[in-house]
Amino acid sequence: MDGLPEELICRICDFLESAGALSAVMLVCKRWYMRGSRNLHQRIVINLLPGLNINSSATVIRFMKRLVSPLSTAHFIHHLTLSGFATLDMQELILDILGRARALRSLDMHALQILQGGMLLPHEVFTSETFMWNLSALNASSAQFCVSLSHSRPIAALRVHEPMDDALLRRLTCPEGPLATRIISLELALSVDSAATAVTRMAYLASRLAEAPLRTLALQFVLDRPGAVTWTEFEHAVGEMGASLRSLQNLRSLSLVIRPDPIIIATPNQPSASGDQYREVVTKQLAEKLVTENALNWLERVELRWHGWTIRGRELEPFPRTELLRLPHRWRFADSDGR
Amino acid sequence: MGDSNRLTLVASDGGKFVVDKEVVQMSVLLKNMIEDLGETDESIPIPNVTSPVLTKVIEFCENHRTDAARTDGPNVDGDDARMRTAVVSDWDRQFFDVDQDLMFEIIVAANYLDIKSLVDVGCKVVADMIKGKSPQEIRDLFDIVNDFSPEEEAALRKENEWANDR
Repeated sequence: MDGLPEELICRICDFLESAGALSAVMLVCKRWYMRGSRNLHQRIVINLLPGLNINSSATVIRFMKRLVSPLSTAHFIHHLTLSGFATLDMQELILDILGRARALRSLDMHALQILQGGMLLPHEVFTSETFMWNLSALNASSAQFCVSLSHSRPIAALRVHEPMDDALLRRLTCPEGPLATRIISLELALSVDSAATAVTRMAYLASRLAEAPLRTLALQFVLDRPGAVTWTEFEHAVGEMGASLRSLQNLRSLSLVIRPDPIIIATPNQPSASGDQYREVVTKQLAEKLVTENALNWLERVELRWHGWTIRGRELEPFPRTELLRLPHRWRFADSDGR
Repeated sequence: MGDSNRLTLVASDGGKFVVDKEVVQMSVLLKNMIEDLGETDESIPIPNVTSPVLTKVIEFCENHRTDAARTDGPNVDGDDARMRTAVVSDWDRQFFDVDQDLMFEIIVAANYLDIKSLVDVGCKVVADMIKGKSPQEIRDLFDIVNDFSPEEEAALRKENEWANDR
């Protein structure tokens, strides 16, 4: 077995999915250490519990420091998830790790809270030709951060949690950027002042992405004023958006949400149905209308408000709420990548 | 030998095997060699592989000849991920139910002959043997010498704690 060629040891490690098995393999001998290490580092999940600081002796902090040491294995990382609470000095450590993770393909940091303010990045990292240069999937909270990073990197899957204003949206989708030709999965929160503005944004976005291989579009329009839109306004807005959606012929999954959610008042002539059932019925009618009236035959999934359906022929079959794209912990890229 | 659909392979110890061309072509190495040679009656020597190993390799290829067409298709991205999670079939498991030296010789030969499906199944069987074992058990199993000093091993073990935390 000592004579096994290098590529076969690699292949064996490819089949060891669990971190425990890989770390056992790494301790067998020096040759195996290198191979196991490569695989073990492809997917890294770093969760920073509250109360940790940079001087802590916790395993996770020791590990993070090793990633920036001369023995750094950061260049093996393909997929990185960061979550929890980071103090300002930990933010510097994280930046250092990201700078060394030259093979990074996906970064999920939507659940990372930077204490004492948001992530502050030196301006030059965004234009740097080495900083996360091959990043193709990004899930983060800060709109400014995501837009700046997306500009010159081959992003194909993007989820941004913080509502984005019109200026940022225009920067994100500018014709020179890679998004317009590369994006496959786009999940955004857009800040709007009315349902009518939401319709305008959708029209703008559809015109910019008509050439993109876009398969998933999940939009949450967030009202930047107190109050909510009425159900009638929502119905009307979704109807209007249908026309824009016709140009997105690669689209398979669509999710449309206005926050706060439009209030549906159950009518008294529906006494048999509970309020919740009634809301689902009218939302489904709206989804059916959207799909059929605009002949969106290529759609496979549609979600409106708090309900979602898979489309089979002319039938809409509901799926559980836990699978809705609007939920903060969901990320289309993570589903599709077989993680 | 008039039959143009069959070929003779010669193992390192001189053992001769007459095999269907279609079966031989599951090896990318031999497939390319046949294309270079054109129509020929000459037998093909395989200097790195002994008769017992070649017998097993041919057995595998004959059993899997029908799924060969699949590997000619476009290599979809998800292919590798599917392969990783796929379960080893009963036939394949029984095929590898041989002594360990022969098992590794088969995998090394498959790698040399470039028969991807056999390499993958073999590596998967080895990976299944490794799962759940401690480093020392893995060394014993495969007769590998530990070249870490006790201090080095202890330090690396500590470093890897984060992985076991996950």
